[in-house]
Amino acid sequence: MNKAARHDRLFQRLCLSAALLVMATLAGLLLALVIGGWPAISHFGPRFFTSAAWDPVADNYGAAGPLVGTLVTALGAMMLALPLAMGVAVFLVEFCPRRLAHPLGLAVEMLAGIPSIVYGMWGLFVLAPWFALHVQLPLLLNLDPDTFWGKLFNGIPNGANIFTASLILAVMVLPYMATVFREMLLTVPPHMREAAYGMGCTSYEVVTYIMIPYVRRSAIGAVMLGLGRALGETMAVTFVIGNSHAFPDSLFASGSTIASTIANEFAEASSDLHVSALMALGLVLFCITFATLAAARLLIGREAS
Amino acid sequence: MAVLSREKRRKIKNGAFVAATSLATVLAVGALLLILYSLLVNGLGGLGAHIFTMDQPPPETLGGLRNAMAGSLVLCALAMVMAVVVGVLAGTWLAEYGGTRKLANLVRFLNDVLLSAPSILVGLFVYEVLVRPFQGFSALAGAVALALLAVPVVTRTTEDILRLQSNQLREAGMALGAGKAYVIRAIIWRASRPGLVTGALLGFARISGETAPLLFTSLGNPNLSWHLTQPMGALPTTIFQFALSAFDDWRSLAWVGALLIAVTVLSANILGRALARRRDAR
Amino acid sequence: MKFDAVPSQSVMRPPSEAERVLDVRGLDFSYGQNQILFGVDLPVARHQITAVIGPSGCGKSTLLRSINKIYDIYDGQSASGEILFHGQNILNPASAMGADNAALRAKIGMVFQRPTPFPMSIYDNIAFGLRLHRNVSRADMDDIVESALTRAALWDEVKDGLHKSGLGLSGGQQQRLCVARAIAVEPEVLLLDEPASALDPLSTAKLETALIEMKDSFTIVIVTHNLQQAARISDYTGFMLQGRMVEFRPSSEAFVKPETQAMRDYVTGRYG
Ligand SMILES: Nc1ncnc2c1ncn2[C@@H]1O[C@H](COP(=O)(O)OP(=O)(O)OP(=O)(O)O)[C@@H](O)[C@H]1O
Ligand SMILES: [Mg+2]
Repeated sequence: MNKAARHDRLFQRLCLSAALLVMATLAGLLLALVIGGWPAISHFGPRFFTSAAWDPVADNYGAAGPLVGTLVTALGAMMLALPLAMGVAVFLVEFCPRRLAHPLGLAVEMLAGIPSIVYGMWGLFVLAPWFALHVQLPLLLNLDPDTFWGKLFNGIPNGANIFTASLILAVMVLPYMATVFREMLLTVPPHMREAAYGMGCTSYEVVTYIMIPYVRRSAIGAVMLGLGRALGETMAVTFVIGNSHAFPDSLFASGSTIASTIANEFAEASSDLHVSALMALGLVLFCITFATLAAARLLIGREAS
Repeated sequence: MAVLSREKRRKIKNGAFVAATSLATVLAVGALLLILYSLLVNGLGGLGAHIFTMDQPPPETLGGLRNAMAGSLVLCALAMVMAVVVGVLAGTWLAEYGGTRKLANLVRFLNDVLLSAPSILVGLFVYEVLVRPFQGFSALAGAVALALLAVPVVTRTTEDILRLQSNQLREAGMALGAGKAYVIRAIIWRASRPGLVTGALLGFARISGETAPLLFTSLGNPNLSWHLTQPMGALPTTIFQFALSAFDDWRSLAWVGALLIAVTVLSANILGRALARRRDAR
Repeated sequence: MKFDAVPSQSVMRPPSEAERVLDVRGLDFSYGQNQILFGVDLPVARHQITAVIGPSGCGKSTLLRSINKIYDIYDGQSASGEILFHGQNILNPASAMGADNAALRAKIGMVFQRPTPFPMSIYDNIAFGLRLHRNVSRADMDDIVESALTRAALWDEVKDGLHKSGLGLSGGQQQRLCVARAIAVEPEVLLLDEPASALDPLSTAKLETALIEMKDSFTIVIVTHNLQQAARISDYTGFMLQGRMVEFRPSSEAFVKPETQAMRDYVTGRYG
């Protein structure tokens, strides 16, 4: 074999090993979490997933609180962000004067890149105090605590609760999803739009009956992608969720998510079992987000994202 | 009540729809402007030369963020070196050798998943692999964690960019008798350089504000340190610590830090995009 | 002989004003700074087929897009002059016809060069436009769908698969589906922009037959590159060049004895 051919082979192998490293990362991630979390899972058994007791002092751990907190905040965020993101995307593609569409689209894209710690700080210092003063307090003062609504909105009026966490998550995923939706709507062939307008559709009809159905599949993928982000988001949530491990019993109760619990406790974990319980939490988060992201990627395919 | 004609109803619905989407845009852009406004108002005031010349202070004394900024620079620089090497090679394999083979599609898929995987889990992973076995937090571990987050971004952009290069370019190179590896390195990479730089910038933007993966890898360090095997400070971890503290001067330092990070990330994004646009325009 | 010179003469033998359902007068059109149409006239007689011919890029599609006002969905495209429909200028937003584009487009339907089936079933493609404008019972809808597909000469081919996706049809079938979709809402005028350019001869023949039969119910304007087609099916023919209407006459005479040098050259194939 001559020198050039050897050189070629070597280079190809080098590239291949880099690609395999990407795969190995994900596998290693899973393995590390399984190994790290196994002691806690085997120690507590199924109780680990159903119990809401999270007590580092007694070395007793149950994941239900953070697990439910994670799901509730993420789903809440999606419910708030989805209609807004769709609205922004439709406005930018369909109604916005062309001159404004480019800078506005760019601004939204830029904001999708702002790191979560900035959102977290804003949530902690601006959103939470405002929310406590202008939403929580009035509700607390005016609602009978024994009614359904009173129970739903019950909580210490400090603005650090599940709902504000959802809100800040929504603000975070909003520009991200709006950007993806916008790119998708732009892929609708112009002749499809023209045909719909050409037969007398209003803009509302063109968008809801033709354009959104056209991108439906990838739009669902984009939603899952946003959901995946919201589920695993750490810093923005840690700042405003109040960090209590109790099972959240109202919309305005403080709570925790898996990610916020790990962020708060891992570096100062008190015992091996505590570390292991946090790893097990990580494993749970991994499984949820992997399933969500995998579904998203399969739906979107590769092109649209 | 007067019965509205169908045409009227359609028009009203359409009007409401336009109004609703405009409102959504106003709300979204408004929220985001509000965030930028808070950043500027709270961050600009504390900005001064001391921020860059002094290390982070004990509570209620004057101080800056020098150690944190230096730490962030070291961590990000190290991480980017690793991420660019691995990411460009992996992206090259996907674009030039992988094709549509099963393995390539699997790598692509996993890379895409990794692209949005929770960063805190990457921190846990690196803790298990690089912190626990060596019994100590270290800057190196932090850099590796950041690198793992940047690799998928670089891999993805590299593949996309290389695919844009025409096959004629490859064939022309091969026709001169050069080996494939040489053609890729000397011709394809060179022709794609602006795109590769864009990928690196986007990767940098992705990691420069990351906090979660650093919390239990590089940990944080109140003093200026250049030792890669020791804990090292970083802007995000310092912000996290200061923002949640009870001291006003720590909080205002946290705002300054947040402003610096936001500006850095935005500039990296804008620069990356500008480069990408120049490439497209050509 | 060069043809990029601006045509100097023009010959008009239009139908009488009473016959016209649609009357384009002195239409100017610009894409941004770029003027494409210069004072174009197009008198359209009721229940007749009017063909518009001319070399590529002369502005035929633009003319149709003005009549249906589809250009209005884009920024920076503007039309001025008069397009009279029922005596009102639709280009004037203050007129009853010009104020509501959606309503106007329901009365002046358009079929585009490329088939544009919506991503839904064949049945729903046709029901779609109808549902916009009125409530239709299921049974009535079935009838209307059948009649529209029959008139577009597509019924026999699709009657067993009405609920299959419209995207699964062949190009020719898709185009006839678009015609059926457009006529289901019973427009007064139907605009067709090179509807047969992507079709094979058999599909083209079917489409032509359908159009001739539809004359009794609709007024048709068709843009075509195919001179034989224009001669076969149209009653009036307009020849455009460089954004101007050069010759407009009954088809029976236009092809036999073109009067302008430009049209003579075009018809005899001397134009590129
Ligand atoms: N969206 C647009 N923006 C700018 N210019 C345009 C646009 N659409 C068409 N034009 C220009 O307007 C002129 C007329 O175009 P038009 O499509 O009306 O021609 P046509 O007669 O239909 O040609 P063809 O027979 O090829 O379809 C052309 O020179 C074209 O370049
Ligand atoms: Mg045309």
